[in-house]
Amino acid sequence: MILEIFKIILLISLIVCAIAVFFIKDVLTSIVVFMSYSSIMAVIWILLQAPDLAITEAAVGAGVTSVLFFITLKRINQIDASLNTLDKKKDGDFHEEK
Amino acid sequence: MKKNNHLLDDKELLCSDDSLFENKKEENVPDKPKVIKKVKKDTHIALKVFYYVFAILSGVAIVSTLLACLFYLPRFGAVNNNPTLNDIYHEYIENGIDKTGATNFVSGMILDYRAFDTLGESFVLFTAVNCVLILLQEVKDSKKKEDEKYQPINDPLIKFGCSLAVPLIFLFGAYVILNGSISPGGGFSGGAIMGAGLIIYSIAFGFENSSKFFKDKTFKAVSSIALLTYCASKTYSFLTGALEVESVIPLGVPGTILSGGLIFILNVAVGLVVTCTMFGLYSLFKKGEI
Repeated sequence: MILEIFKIILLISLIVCAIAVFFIKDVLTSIVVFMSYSSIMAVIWILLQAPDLAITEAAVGAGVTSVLFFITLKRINQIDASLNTLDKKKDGDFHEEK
Repeated sequence: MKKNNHLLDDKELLCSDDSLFENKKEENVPDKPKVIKKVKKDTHIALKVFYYVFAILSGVAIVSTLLACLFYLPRFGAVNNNPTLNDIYHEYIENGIDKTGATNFVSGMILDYRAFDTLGESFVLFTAVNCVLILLQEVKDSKKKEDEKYQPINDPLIKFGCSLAVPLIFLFGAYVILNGSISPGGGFSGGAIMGAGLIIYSIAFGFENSSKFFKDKTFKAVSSIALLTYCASKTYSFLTGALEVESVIPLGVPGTILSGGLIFILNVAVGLVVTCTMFGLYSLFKKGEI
């Protein structure tokens, strides 16, 4: 009974994650949500008695794919926003902004 | 500000590239007479026509072969009238472990009965890396400037965490690959884990340290040798199967690490290819070379 409820919670959060990836406008956040989608999917694979797929999903889906996404964003200068404030302080340009 | 600086740098680089290109063009024009140009154009057009014809012919051939194969498929939904569909899985479930020698029958399925598919998947990964290599390889002149960007973050916390985690990740990956015929896992999952370990290592300690043991040459040598080993061992088993000759390789006792005959070798080969692919893709995306 508890397992059934756990399964239903997992499936609902899977669907919520899948829809959220589409609707979130910030690319970085949507990639993190996509990572969580893959992790939930890995747990579901274990519950469906497919441990082979679970290992692969956890390693490829949650790990390597997200890293590749992050690097791609870095290359096209999409995730510099959070690092910019630090750089400004270092360069002494912080006063110019004010 | 920094973003803008990057943009400016890029623009300047682009401009300088363009100006170089234009200079070369201007130099080339007076040297060569117009006749040679015409001949070149003709061969160019001929090549283009050849490519078009070749592409259309090969496309038609592939599509017609695939469409012809459609006629041999069983009718959709007609499960009861297709004896092949009903018999084959009894054979797999009853005699599969005896015939392949692998306790983990998923491995036995993908590396023995469906070994040709797995070969195709490994080649897909290899081809993907090669395509990224062609697309993302950067111009050699701009490399030295860019290298400064790829220094690792000098964070003692990240370094300490990685020095603890990376050996464990490698150990687990090797365990998953080597135990592919016994426990869940196998070449693909273990290779992905080991590739992720390599990526984490190079995030923490930088490409300078990772290039001490993983270079361009290592990637090429390891992945091509692994693919060739896979091809050779599978050719052997296909040939012995087709000619109905007894295979020399023993199946081993199911449950031990060397069981499954060729499956052990195939798992290691696939694992090496996947490891190289994962790290190759990462370093190509990160700095434009392996």
